[in-house]
Amino acid sequence: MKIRKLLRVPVFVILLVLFLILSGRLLRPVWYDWNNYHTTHDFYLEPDNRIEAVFLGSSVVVNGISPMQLYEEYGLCAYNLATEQQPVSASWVWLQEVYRLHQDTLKTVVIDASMLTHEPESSAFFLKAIDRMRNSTAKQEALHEYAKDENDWISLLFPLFHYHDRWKELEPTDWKQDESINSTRGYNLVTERWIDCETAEDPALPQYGYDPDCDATELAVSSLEYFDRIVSFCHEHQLQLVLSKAPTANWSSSAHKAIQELAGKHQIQFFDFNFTPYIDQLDFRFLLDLTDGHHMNCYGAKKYTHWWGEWLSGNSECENKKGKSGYEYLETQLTAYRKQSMAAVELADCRDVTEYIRYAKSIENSAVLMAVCDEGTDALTEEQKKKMEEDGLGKLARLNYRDSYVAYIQDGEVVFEMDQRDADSAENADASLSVDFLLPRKQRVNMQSCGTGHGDAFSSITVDGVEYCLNQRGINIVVYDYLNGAVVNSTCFDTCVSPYREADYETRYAHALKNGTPADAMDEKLRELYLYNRRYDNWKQVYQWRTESSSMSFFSWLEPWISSKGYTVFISVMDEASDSLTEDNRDGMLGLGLAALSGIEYRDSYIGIINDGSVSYEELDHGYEPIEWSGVDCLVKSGGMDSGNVSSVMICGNEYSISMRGLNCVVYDKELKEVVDTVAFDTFAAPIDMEYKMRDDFI
Amino acid sequence: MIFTDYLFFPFVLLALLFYFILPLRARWIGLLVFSLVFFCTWGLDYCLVVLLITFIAWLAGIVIDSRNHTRTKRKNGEASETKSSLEAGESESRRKKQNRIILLVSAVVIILVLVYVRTQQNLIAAGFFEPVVRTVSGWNAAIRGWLGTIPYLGELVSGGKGWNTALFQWIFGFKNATDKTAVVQSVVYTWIVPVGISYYVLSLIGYLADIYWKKQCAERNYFKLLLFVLYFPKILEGPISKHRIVGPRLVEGHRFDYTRVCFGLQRVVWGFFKKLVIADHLSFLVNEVFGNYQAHVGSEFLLAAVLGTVQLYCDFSGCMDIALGVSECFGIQLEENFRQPFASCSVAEFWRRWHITLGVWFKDYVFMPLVISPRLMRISGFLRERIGKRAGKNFMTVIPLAVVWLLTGLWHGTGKNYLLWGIYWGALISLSTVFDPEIRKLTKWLKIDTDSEGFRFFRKSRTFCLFVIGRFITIPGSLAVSWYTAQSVFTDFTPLRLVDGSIFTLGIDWPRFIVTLLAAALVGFVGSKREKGVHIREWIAARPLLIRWAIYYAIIFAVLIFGAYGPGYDASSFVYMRY
Repeated sequence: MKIRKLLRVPVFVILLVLFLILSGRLLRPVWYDWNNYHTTHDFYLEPDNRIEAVFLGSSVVVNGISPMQLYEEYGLCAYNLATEQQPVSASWVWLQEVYRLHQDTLKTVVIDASMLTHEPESSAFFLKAIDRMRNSTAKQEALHEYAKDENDWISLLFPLFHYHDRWKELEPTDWKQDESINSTRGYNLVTERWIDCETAEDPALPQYGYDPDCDATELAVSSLEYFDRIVSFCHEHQLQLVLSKAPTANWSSSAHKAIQELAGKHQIQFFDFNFTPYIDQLDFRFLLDLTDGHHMNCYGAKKYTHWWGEWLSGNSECENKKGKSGYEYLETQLTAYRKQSMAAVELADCRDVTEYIRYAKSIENSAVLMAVCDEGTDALTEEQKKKMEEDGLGKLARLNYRDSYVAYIQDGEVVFEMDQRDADSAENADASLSVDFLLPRKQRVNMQSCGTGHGDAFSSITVDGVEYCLNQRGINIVVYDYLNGAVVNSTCFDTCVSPYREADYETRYAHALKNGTPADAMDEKLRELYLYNRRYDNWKQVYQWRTESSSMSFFSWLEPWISSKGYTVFISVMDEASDSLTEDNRDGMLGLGLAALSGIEYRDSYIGIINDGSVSYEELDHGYEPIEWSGVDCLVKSGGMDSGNVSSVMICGNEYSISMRGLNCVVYDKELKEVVDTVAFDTFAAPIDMEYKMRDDFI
Repeated sequence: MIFTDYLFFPFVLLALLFYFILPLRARWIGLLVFSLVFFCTWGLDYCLVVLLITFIAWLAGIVIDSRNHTRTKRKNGEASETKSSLEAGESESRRKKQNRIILLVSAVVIILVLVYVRTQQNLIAAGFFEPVVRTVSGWNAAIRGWLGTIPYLGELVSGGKGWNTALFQWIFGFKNATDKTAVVQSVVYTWIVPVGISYYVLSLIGYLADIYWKKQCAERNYFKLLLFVLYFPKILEGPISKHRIVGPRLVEGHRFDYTRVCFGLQRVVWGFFKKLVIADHLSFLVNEVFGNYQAHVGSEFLLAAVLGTVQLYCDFSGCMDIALGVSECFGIQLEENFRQPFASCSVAEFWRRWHITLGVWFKDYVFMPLVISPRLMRISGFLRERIGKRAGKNFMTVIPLAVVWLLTGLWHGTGKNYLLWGIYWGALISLSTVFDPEIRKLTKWLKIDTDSEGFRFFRKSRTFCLFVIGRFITIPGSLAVSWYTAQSVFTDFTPLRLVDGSIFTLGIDWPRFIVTLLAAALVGFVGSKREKGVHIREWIAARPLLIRWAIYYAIIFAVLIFGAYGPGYDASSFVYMRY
């Protein structure tokens, strides 16, 4: 009896442990955001000893590197193991893990420097990065180091202890293990451009040029510790380690300098894509190639990945694996990648609403959610309506003027479509059309539509409470990948005004420039892009001058500002500006229309203004008082040695003149409403085409 | 290590394994080793101090006990002495008694000072020890000045590394301390303060007093006394055990008993259920409301005070369940500390059911000595003669009670609020005792059936309300806040805040709130069953295996899933651990 009783103990304990494991699995969260779940899940589906290059880092890498593109273009077998705010400590653990599984093939490790400059916002990101990593010595060591104390460590070992408080957030999906693969190999594809965001009204500029005189940022101590481990590990296992910095709007010269020093210390190559020359090599435009100021969209990622493909092909031991035995699975993945992920890009490029819907329907595991706002069918052509009828969207094709409408298409089949008549039948005629339902993976959807004929124009599409609808006039469509819990594309077709959507920004922008459309005549977004590009080009021009040489011709400097419209150049003489002028110089000035300046004499005062390429004002004076010119928010002064010895260019209350002997020149961009450059040519001491001074603090 | 550490459970299992592997006679040594290990997890310094205190008590106990026995021997062996020699004997006896008192008082004073220091942490923060620190620093400076006049030593002193500094550094391990004041302050903060873990200190005082009153003999084996002091299940929050009861149980070996171990583990899990599922969740709400009192209204204060009462009960009684459950696994029965206190019909009864061992301690070692004190009896007799029989009787009730409750208040904390809290309870109990005849007459005159269920319910509710009012005095932390919150209940009640969903923003969301309330209801149900004499564990044990195990798993997973522990929760220590 006693033994029977004692035998119950192990049975009880075994059952207890079993329940512990099961409940731990149930309560463990699945993070689909930033591709987190699939990055880890899919990594372990990779056959051993295949991966040759691995990318580690934070979300900028998650959104920036597409290993499938590397394979498609260069046949490289790479994997993107970056995760959201991945601390360097987590990169270290992942490096060990990828080496454990691919030690025969791994050759190159590319790590992004973002997380070296600061600690992650929360230490939870470490856990999030390695949570689904399989158990290994490296993981256990990392968890032990991460844990604050023994209690914390034990709680990390048992998911139930760590995630037990999720009981109140459990969804039906938590009861089923997600075994799907998304074929992106760690890459998170987004199509939204920064210019579409509200924050793009005043976009941060890339600091085109690196300032070598800045102070280096202090790097995060704990990150450095782990980075040292990574360096040693790579050295020990003869892996090529490369540091990179993906383009973002929040990087600085100071951070660059610190990383550059670190890379120098360890003799590692460092590529910073925020500064010249790499930013030029990418031809990266923040407004178009970033999605939110920090992360690349698919357009930026394409450029970034392409650069890395070129570099890896030529500078690493990574080989082209196309057609090689054992890598056939990459072809399968590539097909799926093209089909599933690139669908987002294709969707974004669709101009015709019917084409868009057809394409969206063809995407696997997709839910197409449609809601009309204001008015959605007035501009539809008969052909489009016919296509809609054929596609099972008869109610949309026959939708009344300013009517409300919602529809749901799942895996290519129209599940339902409702217009206001359906609402009427539900005794809900005066309210907006609203419908709630569950997607196949139990995501809760709410769609609302209100045409102007039934109240204030409005539309809404929420999935699990998150709003994805653009809520603009016309047909608002959200294509949702219910398997991965991610939005593939969200858009709106203003089918009240036009049957087709406007072309993408680049096309429209190029068209506008080709047609010579003045900036003022461009629409808001295009003008924003125009100004952004203009500012970018200004920066690039000035930076190149500053870094490439310490001497240049006055005429070379003036050339870009007078050859384009929108610039005003202020010239103010101080002290003496004529002594070293040659006859050629004077002839050149005359040729530019600076007639008075070409005749400047010893210690004369002079003010010259060139507006939109033509000289609009000149004044030369031999008197004993300084001369002045004033405009709106602008005051220019000049005084030769005998006339006050002064030079001033005040714009909006700020002094921009260098106030140096000779010609002081300031160029003002009227469209950007900012001073672009300020220089001085000491034409007393040297010929005008020999030397110039720039204001150090200006850029 | 505390009970809610993950390591505690494996620690207990390991201790049990070793305990039952060891020979019966040596089992207490295993317990002592594990208790020392448990205590050392708080810091080696603490352990050294406790060893010292135990040594003082052990030595004092032996000396007092030896004086007791000397006197007895002489009394029995020298019966045929002459009158003069008897007088001399009596004089010797008085001297011995005085010596015993001096010994007892000296030992108790040392320990009491430490208790006082322990509960005076806020006084330390407020500069209570500044004079001490200044004085010691002054001495230090004087000694250095004097030593400075002596060749060689003067060089040492003036070199900034005086011998006394070096000594301090060596003793207390301060490597970088050069400022004597800082050293002395550190000594006060790091050595003296943690010493006053008063549960075992009270037990030791009781032990010495019992020896003095010859209720027990002194423990001759220092390590056995050390085990009584350090026994890990009771070191955190008690119970405040009596050596003469628990001491022998600790050192006698206990055989493995499957049912007893099962019952013990069940009680441990139940303790965790009370602590983690109820108390720790409610603490978020209580802390939010009283910690951020400016943002809350009267109705929320009232709710928080009521829930704070439940929290305190579940926290403390949960800890006791864990302690008693663990101890039960070893076969060592500790004293119960709670007996369904909220089923009490009067405040006096309440304190006989709440923190029982503390009440018993004060009764045995403060109240009773005062009641039988000749001086008080003389005063009582005087009052009895001059004013009346009742006055004398009331005097003998009120004065000892006042002292007991004043000390109880001070034991809980030294702020004015704790003093008021002690006065509050002392006054309530005194008044209920003094006016008991009038209350009886009144109920009789009102023709109230005092045995009816309705009246009993009224009395239980009244006791609960009085306890809640008491919580109003202590939870907010200061009298000003107590006054503000109590006032708000009458001036800014705003009952709508209780139903508009605001309460789910007070640190505990609605799913957890519901679970906590359900869990509290379960605890209440189990308590009511126990009050009716139903033993739940035995009832469960009588069920079929499947049902039994289902209940066990349900409770275990209720703790693991609904408990407030792990990330996002501060490892909240037990409320009564600070005493």
